Amino acid sequence: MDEMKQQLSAMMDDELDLDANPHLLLAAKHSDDIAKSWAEYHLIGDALRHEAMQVDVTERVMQQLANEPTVLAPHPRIKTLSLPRYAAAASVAAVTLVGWMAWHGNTTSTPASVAQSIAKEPVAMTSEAFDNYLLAHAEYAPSNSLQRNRDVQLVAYSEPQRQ
Amino acid sequence: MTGEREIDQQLVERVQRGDQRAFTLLVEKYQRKLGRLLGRMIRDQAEVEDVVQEAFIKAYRALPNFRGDSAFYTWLYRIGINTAKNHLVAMGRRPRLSNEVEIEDAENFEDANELRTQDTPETELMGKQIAQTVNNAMEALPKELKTAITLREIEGLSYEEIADLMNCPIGTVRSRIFRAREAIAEKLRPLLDTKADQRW
Repeated sequence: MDEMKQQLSAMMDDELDLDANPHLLLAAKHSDDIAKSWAEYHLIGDALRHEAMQVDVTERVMQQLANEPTVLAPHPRIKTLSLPRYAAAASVAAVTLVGWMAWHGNTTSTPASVAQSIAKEPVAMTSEAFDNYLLAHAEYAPSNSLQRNRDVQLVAYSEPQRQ
Repeated sequence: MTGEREIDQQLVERVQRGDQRAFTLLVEKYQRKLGRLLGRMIRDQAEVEDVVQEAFIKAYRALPNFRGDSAFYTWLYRIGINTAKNHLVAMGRRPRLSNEVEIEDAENFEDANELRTQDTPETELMGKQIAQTVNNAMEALPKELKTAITLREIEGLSYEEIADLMNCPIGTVRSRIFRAREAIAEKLRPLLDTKADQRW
């Protein structure tokens, strides 16, 4: 208990991070002794600074708050990025992606040639492979959808061959 | 070490997440200072307490909008001053402070020691008893404890600064301040328990 009170003492002096020691707040909630110490330590500080005006509204405030609807909502502090920062971040991400693709695909390619090669790459799936895929997944498809899907796909698949 | 007033901000964020108990800690911390500030505007002790209570309730309701742009106590004191002004207007009395003085008071209030209000005989006696008990307990402290808590509570130094001045580790400073507080609190408790129906 003394160790916890010592932590409480340091916390009220801004020398201990509450976020890193959430047990202190829990203790203040559930232990009258800890809660009392918090009040006493502050009273002592106020008395030493001659600020101990005799005011104690804690009970009255908490009684009133108990009858209040909970209107408080989470309000995290999020650091917002300005538009130029977003643009810079997007540019860096794009350059990184293209560079990575170029490095892993063809170390001598330029980003433009990589993009062209991707665009020209033919669809690799054959009709037989597609049939196997549909058959394998037939049990997950609604009734009659196998044939309908296949018809749609066959038309689409035949398109490059006509060119 | 966390930043100055970081603990207030952390408590505020907990209240904003719906933790009412964290608000209690802020009330216990600032009610006397707020009372002293408002005592410059309102003479009657009972009225001061009413206005302090109302100010805390208003602050609680407004906390979702508190962004932390200013220190919590500055924000709270501004609410307190506005609440006091409204109270005086409602009572048909004229607020005694100009806007310039109010803002200066709110922002520099921790350095203001000359504030006075008209206590009732009972609260005045209580105040004197507390001050006397705390002073007596301070005098009875070993020198290193007395120095440590004086540097912290009156001079407002950080643990690191106190450690430099006292030529000891920060952990020792932390321990000395805690032991000083506990020793004083021990002398204070019988008085506070006796007056449990007249809380501070």
